[in-house]
Amino acid sequence: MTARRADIEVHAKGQTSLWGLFPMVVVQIALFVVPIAIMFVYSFWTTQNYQVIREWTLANYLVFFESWTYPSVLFRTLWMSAVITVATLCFAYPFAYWIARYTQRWQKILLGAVVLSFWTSGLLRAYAWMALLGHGGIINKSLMQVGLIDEPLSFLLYNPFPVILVMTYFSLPFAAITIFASLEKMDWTLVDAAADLGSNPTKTFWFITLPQTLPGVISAAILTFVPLMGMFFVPLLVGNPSSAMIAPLVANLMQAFQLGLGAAMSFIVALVVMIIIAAAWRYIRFERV
Amino acid sequence: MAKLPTRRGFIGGAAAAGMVAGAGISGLPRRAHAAGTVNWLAWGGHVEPAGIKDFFDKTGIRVNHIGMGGNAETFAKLKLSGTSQYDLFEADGLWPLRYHQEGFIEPIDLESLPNVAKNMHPEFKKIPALQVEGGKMLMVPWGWNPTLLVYNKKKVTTPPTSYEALLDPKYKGRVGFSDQHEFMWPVAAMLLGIDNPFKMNKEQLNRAKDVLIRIKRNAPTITKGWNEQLRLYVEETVWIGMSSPGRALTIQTSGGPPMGTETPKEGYYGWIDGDILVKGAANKEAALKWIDYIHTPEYVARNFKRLQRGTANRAGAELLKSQGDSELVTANLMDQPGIALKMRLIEAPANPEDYAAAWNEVMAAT
Repeated sequence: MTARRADIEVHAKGQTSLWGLFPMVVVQIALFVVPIAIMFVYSFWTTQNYQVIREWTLANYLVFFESWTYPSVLFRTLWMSAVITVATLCFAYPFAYWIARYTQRWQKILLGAVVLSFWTSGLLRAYAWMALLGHGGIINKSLMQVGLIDEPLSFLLYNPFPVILVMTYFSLPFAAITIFASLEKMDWTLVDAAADLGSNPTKTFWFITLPQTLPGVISAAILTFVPLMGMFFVPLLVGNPSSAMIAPLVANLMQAFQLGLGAAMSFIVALVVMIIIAAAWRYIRFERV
Repeated sequence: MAKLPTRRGFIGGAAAAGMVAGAGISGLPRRAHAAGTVNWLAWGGHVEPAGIKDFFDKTGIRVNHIGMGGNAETFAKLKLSGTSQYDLFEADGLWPLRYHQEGFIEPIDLESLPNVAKNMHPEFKKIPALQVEGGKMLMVPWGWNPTLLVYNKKKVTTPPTSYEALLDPKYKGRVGFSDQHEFMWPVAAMLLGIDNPFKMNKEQLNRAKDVLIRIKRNAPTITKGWNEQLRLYVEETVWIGMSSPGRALTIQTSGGPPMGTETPKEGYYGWIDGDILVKGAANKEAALKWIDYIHTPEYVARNFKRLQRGTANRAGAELLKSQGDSELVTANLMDQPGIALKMRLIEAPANPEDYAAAWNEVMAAT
């Protein structure tokens, strides 16, 4: 094949692959770029007495930053999301490791069981947790019946603990499946080689397994962290009224027709999330290099 | 020549559509032009599937129920997406006035609807604030309730006579706090001696906000709807809060503790809800037939036996009594319609931006 012909073929292939990207680009624009653009535009408009004032202003962003109310809730949301992400990874990693390493026969069934929880509405699952954790819930009733406690345990509901517990439960399948995928692709002969050379299991995990699966762990962290930032109903249903998170406040504003301020808050949250993803993405690429 | 949309108009329209979706408003109704269909934007509690089926069997008209949120949320939805998709929607208190200002409403002559004319308590047919030209009403009243202090008699041994009880440190973690801000602002305003809770200026709103934050600190959670409130009272997580006498009875009959009801010395607010006809509704005749149908005693009795609150419908209350539900009728003041007209009614805030910001500060406060 001449160099000229090869050039033409590569060029043609490039064109074909670009056209192949077209549906994805359309979907990306429709579902990502356009909504963000709408939100961005609205964040510079205000509302007055249920009328949208289409005059460009930074007023909504100033409202966000002029008092400590919204930044403090945003920081609390970031902190809670980080704690829940760590908790999720702590449960998801050993679980995924166990499935990948020790359950050859039952692997598909166990993975199916992980996905099964998605079949029920998230709201219903949150209500089910309330039925378990409430003052009149199964846990408190059982403990009282066997005489272990006289009064219901108040920390089980309407506290940070149930928020962490329930949101970890919600995030676990996303993280477990992502980590499982990276464990599946891992070169396990290196683990066996390390063992043959006298490395103990802890050392092998830290120096062989974890570095190989770190991109998967970071992907799992992103997949966990991002939805947590926008989680709306769990903090409302099981959380403490004094520990508000940002999504319910945005929802309040939208419901009260404060579209500009709601959009500005959403955009600030989206921006923070995008910065975190960009940082994580950069780390993944760096790791690959 | 047809006027082309401007770029700003296009962005605004697209943005509005996006915002509706963003606000979590879902469940698009079918187009209102479909013959024999009523598009009814209504609270789920008002819907009796058996009644919808019976109405269809009798008239051939389909009722397409679209779920509704709070007053402000519904107003926002109609402002953004227009009213043309609906024939009927619902509202509370004096909110119909706000809709009327926007030109969304077609007032109804209640005497032209046979069941409404015959079965409704006369007091509800002529609520002065909701009447317009020719004696027509902006809304066809359905249910009502005063919002009073309710309390667990086992735990709150001295009957509370003031909203001050909600601030009492001895009830820390035991006070009911609703996410329905329309019912929370009046509590704060009345405690501060402010005359109109829905027309507070920034300084008054700021003080009212501080009062609500103090009440919130006494609450275990912010309740989202009646079912959650009921569970919290029955489980005795919450001992004292605001609700209606009928709902105090429901708490008891649901296995909860004995409940008391007191009228606060500062006064009280209440609500009357009902159905509103959309101006220029595509299915106006069918919509009016549906309103008339739901005011039959049978539909009313079935709905209020389930919902347990006051009804504007005299015949429905009488049917409940004849079915052996006298206690329900008495507790829900169904036979005392005069009380409804003495209540001060919730309304749209005069400066919604300030109210929304203040409410968010209440929610965000630690």
